[in-house]
This record gives sequence, C-alpha cells and structure tokens, in this order.
Amino acid sequence: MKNLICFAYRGEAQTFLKNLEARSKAFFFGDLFETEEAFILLTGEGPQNASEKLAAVLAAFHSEINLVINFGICADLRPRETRIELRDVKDLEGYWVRTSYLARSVAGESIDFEFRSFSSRENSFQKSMDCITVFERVFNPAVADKLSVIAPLADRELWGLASVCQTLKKPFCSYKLISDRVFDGTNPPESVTNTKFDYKVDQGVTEGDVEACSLQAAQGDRPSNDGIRSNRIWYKSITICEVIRQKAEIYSDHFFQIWNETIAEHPVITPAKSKLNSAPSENSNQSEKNLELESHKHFVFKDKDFHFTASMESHFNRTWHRLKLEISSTDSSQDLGLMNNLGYTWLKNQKMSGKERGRQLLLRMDQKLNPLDWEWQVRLKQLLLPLTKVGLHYLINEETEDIEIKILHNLSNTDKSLEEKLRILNNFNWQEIHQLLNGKSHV
Amino acid sequence: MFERIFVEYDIADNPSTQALLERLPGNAPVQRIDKLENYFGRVKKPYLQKRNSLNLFIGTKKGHLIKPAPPAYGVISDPHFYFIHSYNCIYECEYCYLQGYFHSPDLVFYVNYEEIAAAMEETIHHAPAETFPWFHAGEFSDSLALSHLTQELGYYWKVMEKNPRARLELRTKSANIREVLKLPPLPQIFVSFSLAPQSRIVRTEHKTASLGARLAAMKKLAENGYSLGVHLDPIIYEENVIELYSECIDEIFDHVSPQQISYLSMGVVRFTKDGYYQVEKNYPQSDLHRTQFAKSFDDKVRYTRPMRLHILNKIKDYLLKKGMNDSKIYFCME
Repeated sequence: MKNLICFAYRGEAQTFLKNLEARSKAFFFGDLFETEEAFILLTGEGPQNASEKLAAVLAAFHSEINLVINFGICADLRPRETRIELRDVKDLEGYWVRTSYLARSVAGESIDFEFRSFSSRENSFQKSMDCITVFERVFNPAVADKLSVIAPLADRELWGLASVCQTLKKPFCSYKLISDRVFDGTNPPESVTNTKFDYKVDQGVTEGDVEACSLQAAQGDRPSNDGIRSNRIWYKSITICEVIRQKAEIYSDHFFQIWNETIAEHPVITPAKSKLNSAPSENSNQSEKNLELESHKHFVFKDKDFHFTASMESHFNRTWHRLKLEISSTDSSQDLGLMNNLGYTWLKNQKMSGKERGRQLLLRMDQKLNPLDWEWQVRLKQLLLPLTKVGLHYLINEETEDIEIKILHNLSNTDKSLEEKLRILNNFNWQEIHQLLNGKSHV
Repeated sequence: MFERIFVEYDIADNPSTQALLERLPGNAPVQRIDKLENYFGRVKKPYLQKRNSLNLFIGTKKGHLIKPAPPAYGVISDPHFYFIHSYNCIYECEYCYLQGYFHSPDLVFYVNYEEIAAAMEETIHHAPAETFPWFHAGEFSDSLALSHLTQELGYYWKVMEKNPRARLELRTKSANIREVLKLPPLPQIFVSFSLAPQSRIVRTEHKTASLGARLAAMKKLAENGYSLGVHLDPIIYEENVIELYSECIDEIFDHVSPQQISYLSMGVVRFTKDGYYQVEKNYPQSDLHRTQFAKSFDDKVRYTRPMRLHILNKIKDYLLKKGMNDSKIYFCME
C-alpha cells in the first residue's frame, strides 16, 4: 500500500520526483508517477481538473492506495499587516488542513457556498486550519473577507480531491503553504491596471517574467474582456503564477521535508492507524463503516458451524460493538473469552442448524447486553402465553408502544376454536400486561 | 475561548455590542459581517471542531423570536414557549441534540433583547386569561453558562415583574448564578438545574459544572429566596442506575429540601433518528450505545416503554419516599 501524493503543478512536486526516483506510470494521461513509496499525481489547476484526475487514478489503483495526501499552496484570506517576504525557508508558513469547504461561485461580492464539507483524516496536528476551495483566484478584498468567515485559507483544488476521496472511501490529508495574501499589499492596488513597471517593482519579479506574461497575454486565452478590471485581474493572476513558479523549488523542498517528518513522527498518518486513531470524519457514513467492518470481520463469521444472514450479521456487529463497550475493551485477544461466556463453544456442540446456532448466539448477546429489557420481554411472553397457545398473535405497535392482538381465523361450521379464542380473550387478565408495560411490574 | 468573533455590521457600533465585546475573554480577532445567516449553518462545520475552533457570531434575530415548546415540555395544562436568544453551547454533552442541529457548533448570541422581551409581552397578552404562560430559555443553549457575558437577564426580569402570571425558566448545567443573584428573586422565575450522578456527568456531560458545584449554586439560590426547578433528565441506563440516582437524590436533599423545589421533571435519554446518527458518529465509544433503543410514539428513539417507565417509576418512588410531593413531579416527553 502506498500514499498517493497530489500536486497541482510539476514544480511543487519536483523534489519528490527527484528524490524518490519517480518513474512515469503508463496511464490515460501523462501526469502520474510511481516510486517505491508512493504514487505522485500532477492534477493541474482547479477543482475540476483535480477531481477528474484523482477519480481516474483512485479507481484504477484503489487497492494499492491507502491515503491521499495533497501538498499545495494557498492564499491567506485574513487581514495581515505584513507581506510575504520569502528570503529563507524559515519564512514559510504552512498548515495542515482540518476541514475543506467550497465556494461554488462568486458573483461580484456574492458567494454561493457549497454545504458539504470534508474533514481531513489528519486532525491531530496542532497547526491546522480550514481551507476553502475557489474556482478562481481571489483578488477582491471584499470577497476574501467573506470567504474568510468560512475558512482563513483558500486554494484551488482541495475540495475536488476531498470529494473524490469521500466517494471512493479513501482517507485524505492536505498540507498548504501560504503563497500570497489578499490583504497585505502584495497584490496591486485597485488603481493599478496592467502597468508592467509598477507591478514588477511591487512583486519583485524580473522584467523577463513580465515580458513572458505579456507574451502569454498576446498569444492567448484571456478569460474575459470586460474592461480594465478584468484585464488587471487576469494580469495579476498570471503574474502571481510566475512568482509562485519561481519559488516552486523552495516549496517542493519544504513539502518533501514535511512528508518525511510526518511519516516518521506522526504514525497517525500511516495507513493502518489513520482509521483507528483519528476522530471520525464529518462525512463517514454507513457504507464506509461497512467497509471497515468488512476488513475487520469477526471470527464467528468464518466459523462453519454458524450461519448468519445479512440482517443477523448486522445485528451481531451492532451488538458486539456494544458488548465491547460494556466491558470497556478493544483488545481482540479477549474476544474468545467473551464469546465463550456467551456459550459460543457450547453452541458449537449442540445439534442444531448453523442458522439456529447464530440465532441462539444473538439471543444470548442481547440478554447479556440488556438484562432488564430481556427480562420484561421474557415476562411479556409468559403473560401472553395463553393467547399465543391458541394461535392469537401479538405485536407491539411502534406508535402507541402498546400491545396489539392479531386475530386470524378461518371460519368453518365444525371449528370450535374461535369460541375457544374468544373465551380466552374474554377471560384474559390484562392488568398485569398494563403494569408491565408501564414499568410497574417486578420482573 | 473563541477562535474568531463575527459581528453584524448593523449592530457592530452599538454601545451594547461594544460592551459585550469588551467583556469577552481572550483576544480573538473581531470581523464585521453582513448577515450571520449568510454564513452560520450555510456550510457543514464538524461538531467536534468546537474543541479547538469555536467561533462566535453576534447578530440580531429576525422572524419568530418566541416559539411554542414541544408537547409535554413542562407542567401540564399551561402553554409553554421558548425564546431564541442564543444558539449552541459551550458544553459538550454526548447525548446533546444540538449536534448537527445547526450544522455548526459555533455560538450565536442574538442581542436584540428588547425585541425578545417585547415578543414575550405580546405572547403573554395573547395567552388565555386563566393560564400561566411559561417561557423557557434553554432550548438551543444553556441559559446561564454565559449570562455574565451577555448580561441579558435584566430584560427578562422586567417582563416578569410587569406580568405576574407569566413564568420564566432558566435551565442550566452550569453553576454560574452571579448574574441571577444581582437581580431580585421573583416567585415566577425558576432557575432549574439539570442534574445527574457525578459519575455520569464525568462520562457524558463534558465541561459542565460538577454535581457538587450545581448543588452549591442551588443551595445559595434557595437561601436567597429564588424559586428552583430540577431536571433529572436525561437518565441514561446502566446496571445500577436506580442506586446512582438514589444517591444523587440524597445529595440534592442534603443541599435543598424537597419543599424548596418547585417542580421536578424526569426523562430518559431520547434522540431523533438524525440526532442518534450524530451521536454514533461523534462518540462511537460512548456508553450511551450499550443499550438498545427502539422507535417510539413520536418517532424518536428511546428505551423500550416497560424499561424506561420502570426506571422512571423506581426513581419517582424514591423521590416520594424522601418527601417530594407527587404533584411537583412530572415525566418529560412521556
């Protein structure tokens, strides 16, 4: 089993590709690599690219992957007085992501938030923050201000990755480095249009970089053409990309260091323990639990002397979990002792079908778990025995929680049993039943 | 205490809001927002994130400020209402139905107390003349836990002073009575304490005041003439539940006499289907799951009827034996 490490850009992955001696993996697209320790996927930018590529890889190599890790950059949405001055690796500010959110769309200053969020499996680290994924880069401070109410960090891919992990039942974690801040002045002020010189000075990029951007602009796919503002935003976007590209090697070194340290110092991130030690994911659901149960099947299900239907198996799992809580044990070495207390070995030697053995075992488990409830049920059966003996069936109405008697009778001229049923019903003492149902009877 | 504080623009500069912000402990950054409804509950924030990332929203409540309470909520025959002054709670009770209720564990303070008080008055005026309309403050939050910060109690006191037939219940798991003690005792204002055996509090009601602290608070209030209520609710089954509650009742009556308690409600633990799912998810190891629950009359899941009524009757018998008047005891949501 390997980690699948996802990056948006090759530059962010470069240290991994080099140090782990990654080989290109033959696949539908050329952005997948494999090493001794991990798969490496270059997703491209944006949640759609990220989710499409991850879904393909996870579906193809599902059984070989234990954890999806995303390393990437993000914007800091919080107002800060200082700008980012990346002179040394010590200046880097990174966080493990706690919960991933999504802004579905941003129209002007109005934001449509996606309700679903995904919690990382990695939530035991102290330095963790929430992150919101956006479809477009955030430059407008008013938008950043609103997004920051949900999460202080913004990225372009994580929610897409996390949603795929949720669908394909893989734990994920993410580490984000802050590459830019919306409020600190590293973005051009509102008055700036696309004046190359001003921006160059502000960002500290070379004139060559700006020239390259201008060339891209001349060649290409400008996202929209609605005047100075979009021109400026587009220009900012590609220029920030250039700045980030320049720093990619530093980022990648840092990610590699974090990955190494995390694996070494925090075994919680390793596959076997990630499920056991971390708090439950916000989105863990029944099918996920079922998958977990499948991989930790109780030994009784492998015993050929016992047979459990699907509903009996589910009953067993629920009750077993509760019994283990009762004895406050997660130690599986005690399982056989507990099972023998329930008559497991004794039942194996009894002449009965495998299904009956399973049923008897479940009855004993229920009794052990809740003796009080068990006793009143036994008492109720005893009290209602005169009715059931003559074929009158009862059930407990869920709404009224009262007893309902079912009378099913085939009438014929010679049959005297109806009379007998009516006589028993007539003489039946309901007093004790009522007392029992109202908790006033001693069982 | 709070990681971040968000205040609606409309009230951000009000002197009362500024004073509230001054009273809040810590130095969490304060951010102004348009409407808290645009953010609070709009995304699913994991409940347990409240342990290390609890935010506070301060705003004004729009729409209905007073709502009718669920059936069998309090003393039978009187109309019961709850008013909405706050969402969510600083405590972490494993059975709490607020898990997932608002899709966020963040706290909300609605600070339009004058409007809430006016809505209470209007409700009183519309209630049938022969009834005693009750107002409960603890439906979506603990009534007293943060009352020293919100300092809202005075608004409700004024309503009660003017309307002697109205009743107010402040329900709490805290021992925070200092704001109450600053106000005069009124016969129709009841400070009610949710109580449980100390071993149960330790296991299930995280961060709440100990039983001893709650009882000491009750005693102090009783000594100063305040009306008291008690809730033995929710009772959670364990093998020696009757013995534990008998001891708990002994402790209660060591601090206050049965005569000093105006009413006592009892109820067993119960969940909506969604609520139980949240509990299973957030607290998979909780001993709440030891016992089987069954669907019951109002679509909630509870212990089976014979079992829960057996528990309630046994505890009630003990209360009666200790001198509690039968007419003061009622079963909640049964």
